[in-house]
Amino acid sequence: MSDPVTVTVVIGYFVLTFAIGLYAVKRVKTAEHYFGAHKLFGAVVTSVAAFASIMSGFGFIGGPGLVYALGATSLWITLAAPIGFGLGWFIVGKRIRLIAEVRPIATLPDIAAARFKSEAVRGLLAVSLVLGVIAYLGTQVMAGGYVVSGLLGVNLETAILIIFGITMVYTAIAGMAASILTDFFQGLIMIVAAIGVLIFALMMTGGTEGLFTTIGQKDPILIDPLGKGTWVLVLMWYFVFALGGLGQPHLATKFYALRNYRDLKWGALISGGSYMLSSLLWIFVGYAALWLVIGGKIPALQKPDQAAIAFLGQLPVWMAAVVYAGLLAAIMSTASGFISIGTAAIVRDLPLAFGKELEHSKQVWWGRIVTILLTVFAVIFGYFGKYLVAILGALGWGYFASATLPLLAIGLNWKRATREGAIASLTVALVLNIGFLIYEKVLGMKLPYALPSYGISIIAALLVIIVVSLFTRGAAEEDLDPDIKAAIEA
Amino acid sequence: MLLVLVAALMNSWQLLGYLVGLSLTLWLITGAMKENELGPALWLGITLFVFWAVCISLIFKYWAEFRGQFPAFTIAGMHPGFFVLFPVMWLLLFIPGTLSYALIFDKWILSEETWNEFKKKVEGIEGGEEQ
Repeated sequence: MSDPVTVTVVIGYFVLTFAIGLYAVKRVKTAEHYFGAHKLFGAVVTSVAAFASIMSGFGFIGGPGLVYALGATSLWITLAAPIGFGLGWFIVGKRIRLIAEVRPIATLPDIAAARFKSEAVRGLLAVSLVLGVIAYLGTQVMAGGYVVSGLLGVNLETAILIIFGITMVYTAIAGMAASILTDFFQGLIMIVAAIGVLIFALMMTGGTEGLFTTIGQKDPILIDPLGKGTWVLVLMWYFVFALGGLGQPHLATKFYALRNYRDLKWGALISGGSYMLSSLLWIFVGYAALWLVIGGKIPALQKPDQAAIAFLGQLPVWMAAVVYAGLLAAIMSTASGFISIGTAAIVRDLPLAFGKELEHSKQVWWGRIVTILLTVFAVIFGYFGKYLVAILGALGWGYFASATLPLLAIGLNWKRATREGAIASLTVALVLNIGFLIYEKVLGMKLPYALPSYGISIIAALLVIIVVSLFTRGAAEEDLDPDIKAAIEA
Repeated sequence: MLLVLVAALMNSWQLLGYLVGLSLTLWLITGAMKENELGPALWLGITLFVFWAVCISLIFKYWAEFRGQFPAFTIAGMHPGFFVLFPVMWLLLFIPGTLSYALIFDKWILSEETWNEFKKKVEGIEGGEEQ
């Protein structure tokens, strides 16, 4: 796979990404710029970056693999996400941007602490974020390493050092500003890759007619709207991925990076539209791989996750190289966002939660140190963790949604939401996620009807903040700070 | 939301389908409304729910009709239920759920007037605190 064209495109991609990441340091003048890119970027950069950070490497490898194995089942995930961007802008976008106008917001715990006037809420949210960030990064280490190793023909350890070394350096130097600017560039690559794949897939298979007829005649279930999953699973997926999107820290952080309030206007359309385009890759790569196997053009795959690689093997080398660059972009954009979020939680929020604030001038310096330590820890954990990584890797989308969604979606739209409700909701989210993790991953048990456990966690956390708020009074209604109240009422 | 959970745990998938649509609709309305004012939020919500309910009903119908067999008719080669899911439902829900944000932004979501009022209110608060 390490042919000269692929190597050239991949190295070119790395060099450009690195240069853009370093360039971002010019924008960083304050700790808020470093940790949150506070009011630094316009609508297009921020919105494409929002989409890029949400579309992870899973969309390029795992998604097509699921289509190959189950048919349309996983489409319910990818088709839900574009509306999730819209809901994100409607439900929390304006409120977060208004608060950023009056407070030096740089992290989600900053917002939660301002809304609920509580350092306990800040601390609990920061702990939740750090745990989720380490778990996520751990799962990406081997995935990123294998991809780079295959593309450049180097050993796994060198490959991990290359991909995470580059991501670590630019994120350490310019923090969230580098993350957003590189995400923008990486998002553009993903869109180009997705459009290219769609065109090649349709040309190769004779259009949708040839593609779906060939597959449907072999196994009709693969082309029906449910595929091999269950209705409860796909409908809960739709619910979780449409609504859960606005609880993802790497999306919510983009709202306070907007330079002007008017930059909100086109954000939902740009990010949702970009995601729609890139999800075509998820759909058509999976089905095209099925078409290739059914038509006898390639042998049956050993594992569904080989679907994307098998399909790319049929493309012209230069096109495959662009898609591989898109895959690296998907992995690195999500990783850099998470590294920034984890660093900010450790350097800024945890000390504040314990009543200590690092000097403003020293926060960026400590941010760089912690970025390096966090990345190194995640790489060691990902490389050596094996069983533990597999278990903690389950703390993904649903985990972040159940921890963050109630605080943002309920807290920023309902003045009656209380500090006690927020603390109870965060605690329930943590306990349920870890409880389900033990139930499913350690004990090997399953919920009925393949019901996703994170669906239960999200709904329970939302209900808890509402019910507890009805019986408590802290930081609600008249007890809200006037500027926060004005942001909720606007 | 509790009903969504109950329907899921009871494996009542058709009911769950409509409840998920209703829940997303209520979230959209909550996000689009202002303090005690519904404005265009109600129409957006109704549009979203109607699109959702029609699409989900058609998906269920065609799925049940052709389950396990090649469908009697296809649209651009696609199973009719699949065609409703992608691209019809995908594009239709995008209109009230995402595109509408840009369309109503200047007049409703955050008009210049609302922004100026907010700034004035906040400056008043800061001025008051300084005194």
